[in-house]
Amino acid sequence: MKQNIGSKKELLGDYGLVLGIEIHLHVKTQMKMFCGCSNTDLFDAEPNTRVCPVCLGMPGALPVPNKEAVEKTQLLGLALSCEINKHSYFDRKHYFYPDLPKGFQISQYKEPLCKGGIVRLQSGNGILLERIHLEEDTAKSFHEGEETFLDFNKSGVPLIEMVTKPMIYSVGDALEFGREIQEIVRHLGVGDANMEKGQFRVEPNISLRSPLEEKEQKIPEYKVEVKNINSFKFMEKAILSEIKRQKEILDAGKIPIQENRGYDEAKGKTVPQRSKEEAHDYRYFPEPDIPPMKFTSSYIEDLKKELPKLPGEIKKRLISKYDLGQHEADVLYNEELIELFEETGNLIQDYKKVANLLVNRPEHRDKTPEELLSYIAKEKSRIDDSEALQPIIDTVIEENKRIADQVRDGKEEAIEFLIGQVMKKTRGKAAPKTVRELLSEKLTA
Amino acid sequence: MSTISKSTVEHVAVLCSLTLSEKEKERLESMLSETVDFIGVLEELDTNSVPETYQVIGTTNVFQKSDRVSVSLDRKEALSNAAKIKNGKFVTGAVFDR
Repeated sequence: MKQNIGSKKELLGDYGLVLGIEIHLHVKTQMKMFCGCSNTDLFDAEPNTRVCPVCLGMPGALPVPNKEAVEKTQLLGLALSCEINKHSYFDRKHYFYPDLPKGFQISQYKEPLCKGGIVRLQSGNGILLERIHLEEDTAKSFHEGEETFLDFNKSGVPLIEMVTKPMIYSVGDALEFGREIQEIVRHLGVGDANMEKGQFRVEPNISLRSPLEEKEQKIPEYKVEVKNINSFKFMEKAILSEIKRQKEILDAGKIPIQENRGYDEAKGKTVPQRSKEEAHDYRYFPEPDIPPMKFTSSYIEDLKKELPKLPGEIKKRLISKYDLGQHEADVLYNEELIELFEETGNLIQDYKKVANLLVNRPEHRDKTPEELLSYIAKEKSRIDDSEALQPIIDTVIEENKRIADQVRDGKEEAIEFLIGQVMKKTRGKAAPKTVRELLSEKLTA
Repeated sequence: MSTISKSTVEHVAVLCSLTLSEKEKERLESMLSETVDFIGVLEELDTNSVPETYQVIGTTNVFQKSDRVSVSLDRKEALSNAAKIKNGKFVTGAVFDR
């Protein structure tokens, strides 16, 4: 996908962009991460109606992990070529905030479910992942004047966190990375990944480096994490505005402070959020209420067998097998038209034609292969060839001299009658557009 | 000499969102030191050959019983301990990101 993001030079000057991306996504499961509360259609539920002592963080409640969430996290890990940890456990991450009343979030620190991993972009650039771990989401807070309101429906929803190494060097690659992950997550059924519903949250860590640092492959000393991004459009805008802000600070000979900023849609720029706590302030330690998890090689092998073909592979197959372009493959894949495309293609043995039709004429996408076949057959019998049409047109002009003269005199509407006559003679098979062209060529030239 | 310094007390207070008076800080400094020193008795044991653990019962892979979505609390019950409620939500004082 070509993004119009301005020239690199214009945007960055002599600086080099360094991006790391953190993604949080909701795992689609029957139940929440550590309790039996339902995790379906949460978005539509009335506030605080999907809660229990565990996800409300009440003292004495016992969290029990959700296997479905663990497996889906590992499946995503396998799709991204991660190493699946055979020994993994949960940690407590402490911080004080009303959306987390028990005072800590159950997360993973030392032994995440998945380590490493890689995402290949179309440019050939490979983006390495640090890790993928599983944790619980917190409650939703609404700030209004002097009060903060809390809804705990979202508290305890299984949340996957994925972190890349700081090795994304362009806005285009950052957007492609985000879209690619979203596509894979949906394809695997790991999550719905709806950004507006907060099910897929992308947080870029942005910094700029000098030509010298770039040459020496140094990572800048500071980074700014941008949160509150709920679409890829805003992600692009947030990164661009952040680049501009940091460039101004660096140009003035200063270094931007390391902080979290939020993207403000109305202002179209980032604004400061709470300053980042040092990792040791979280006082991580193993969650004593949850026994560790152990996974055997055969369990991991079995999970690998469940892994379906990935979107990238499917598109590659479409392109090489049927000689399609990237755009056609993207549309056929994303609109779930592959089955219709292949079945109809098999029937008429003209894959290019079927692809063209489905890509350019969305109105045909609801048809069955048979319906599409008969539509194409009808189109085929259409007489669209001027040599074949010429004699018929000549006859019609000969038989309707008076009307033809009217057209010659500039009465344009009269041409409709002649087109009608040609259609009649060809039993509706002539292509009206071509007939009109040929007639007006003949009569108005 | 106290094990816990005043600055540690202040740091922990920030993490817990507590506002302490000078007097309270002094008191906590000695109380926390006393507590930590008490636990410090364990240092006398030679634990070089004992592996670290956070779990002593040896169970692994304890997961929820699948396909058994439990009934959530009735909202009235869920909110019954709240100091303040509005439109079905818990209410706290304004918190802005620190």
